[in-house]
Amino acid sequence: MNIAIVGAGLMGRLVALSLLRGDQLRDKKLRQSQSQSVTITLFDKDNKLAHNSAAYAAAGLLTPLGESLHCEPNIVSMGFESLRLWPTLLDSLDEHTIFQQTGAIMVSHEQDKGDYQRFIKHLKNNYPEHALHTLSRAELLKLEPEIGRSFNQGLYLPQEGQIGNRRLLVALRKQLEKENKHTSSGNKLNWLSECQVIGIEGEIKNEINTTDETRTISYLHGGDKQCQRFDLVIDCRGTGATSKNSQRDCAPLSDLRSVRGELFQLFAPDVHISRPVRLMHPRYQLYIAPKQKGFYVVGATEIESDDDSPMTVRSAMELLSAAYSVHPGFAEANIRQHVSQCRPAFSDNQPKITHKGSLIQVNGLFRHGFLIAPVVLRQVLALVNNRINNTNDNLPYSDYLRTEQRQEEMI
Amino acid sequence: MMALNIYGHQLDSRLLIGSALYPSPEVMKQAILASGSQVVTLSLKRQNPAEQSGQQIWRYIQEVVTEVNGHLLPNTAGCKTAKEAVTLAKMSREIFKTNWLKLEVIGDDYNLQPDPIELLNAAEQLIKDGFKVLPYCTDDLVLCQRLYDLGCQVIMPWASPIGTGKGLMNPYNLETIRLRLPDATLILDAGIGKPSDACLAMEMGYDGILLNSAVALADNPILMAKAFSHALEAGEQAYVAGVMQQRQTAHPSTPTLDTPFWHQNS
Repeated sequence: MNIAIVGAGLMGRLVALSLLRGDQLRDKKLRQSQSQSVTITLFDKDNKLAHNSAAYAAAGLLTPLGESLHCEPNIVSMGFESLRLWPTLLDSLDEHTIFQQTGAIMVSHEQDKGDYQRFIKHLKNNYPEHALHTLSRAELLKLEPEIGRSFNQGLYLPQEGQIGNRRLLVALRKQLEKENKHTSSGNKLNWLSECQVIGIEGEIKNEINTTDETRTISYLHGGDKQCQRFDLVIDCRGTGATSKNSQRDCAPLSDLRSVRGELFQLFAPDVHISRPVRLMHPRYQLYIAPKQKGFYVVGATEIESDDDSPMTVRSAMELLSAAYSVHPGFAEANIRQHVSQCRPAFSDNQPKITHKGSLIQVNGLFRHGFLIAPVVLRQVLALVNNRINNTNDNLPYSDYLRTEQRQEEMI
Repeated sequence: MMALNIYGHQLDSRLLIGSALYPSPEVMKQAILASGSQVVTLSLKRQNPAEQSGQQIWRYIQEVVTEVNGHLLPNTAGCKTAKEAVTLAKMSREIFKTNWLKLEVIGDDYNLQPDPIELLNAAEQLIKDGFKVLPYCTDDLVLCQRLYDLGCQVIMPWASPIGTGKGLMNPYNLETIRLRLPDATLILDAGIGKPSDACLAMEMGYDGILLNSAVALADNPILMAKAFSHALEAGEQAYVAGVMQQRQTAHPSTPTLDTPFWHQNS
């Protein structure tokens, strides 16, 4: 069986590794009896470092409650479920990736106390089942000594965490390369990086029964145009699938848009913060994610724009002054990197899986990629399983994750 | 409700609504539809307008505006000088094919207070250039008068600083502007927090309300949009109906013949 994955960002890599391992076949006996091996072709316009992916330009926060004021409750539920799923997934990788679940802290300056109190009320009203601790200045000083100096109170959300987003992308690449060499399942991976997909066209042999349908992917690789036919195509392109970035015969998602985000990577050895911190501010959404050995990620803007040019001075001033107000030690930090990237979002800012015949499209993870990826992965694998076995089994996360038949074919 | 007149265009709704800060574009769309508003403001300052990088969201907003048979009102939010505002205004006219403009020139970073001098300067240049200017200004009578004299048929004084939700900070000033500029279309812009704030301004005789945060940041923006729509209607009807005069002495609505006035102690 030939399966194509288009896009080797976070989702593309996770799906590729699972298919290479044969994880889509949930039943172990079935997996063993499955004589037909799978050949996976992973297409990506980027090189294998994935520096142009939304996942690279992220902070890897796993903070469902911290996000809850700006997202729907189903994202929060998927976030908590993913926090449960990540450790098993990471344990299966040889390369070490930071996974921390020691809670997160929310703070606000005295003049913005109204927003802080509103947030506490929001959590208590909408998420009473999850723990939260309001901290006095003394308690905050004890938990995060260097934050306590600047704030009179804070909120501690003990279940929140973070992941090493960039390390994970590297770990997944290495794992894919290793397992491809020593695969026991007979499955094979062919990773075509720096390859531009220019067409994803369906060929339906039978209008009523689409199980026979195949897809032909046209692509430019090394200057040559080539075509290849697949039994199944899993599209994980992110912003590459917007109407602007994707041609008519390349299965664009018409409701998908790009939302610009900017962040800094700072080296601040004099700052000692051990867990993610969010600053509640009426104008900015700021988080500081400690990434070990003195590195911090400070983000992130959210601008309705598909511009991925370098960070603007205004955004830089907003992010850095907000970070400085949380900890004056950032004044002496080195700016190691400033990153701008676009995140893919549908008009309701919800993720969506659409499928029709031999095409599955996973998109719209917006600013919640790492927060919900394991849940999205399981849902995709269940769909693949249904497709391969021609079954219609219930999908595990249909209550949370919109999964629907693609209504109109653009091709 | 009677029609709202914006530069000769008669609109059914007296609510003008912003398109920022909503949880998602879809919620924004539903809130605008629920509000009944036919004028939607949008800013383009941060979207690299020279490259038209905000095309996707602009198109989305334009589709909503078309659906309600309304008008787009581009603004110059984020501009600090007349020069900057004029440049952005020209770009927005080119992109959105409208000469309507909410003119905003900020003079203070902390409370985002408009700069009256730069505002007048920009308004003068833009009117000469054919723009229909809707200036966002402070509640200063003389400034409003000057803007009106320049040719701004619509004047938009603030209720309180943008995004504070503090409501009508200086009702005396706002009433004075209404009394002294009876022919201007007066829209109360910024600082509205609750539907009752909007209702109060409409009872004063304001022609309309422009708001954004009060709806977008509500726990349920769509429901709040409806609440504002009702509040504006109530305030407008109250103004037309004529509010009774306040009195010092109680006046029973049911005559109490057995209590003659000379029985009072004081």
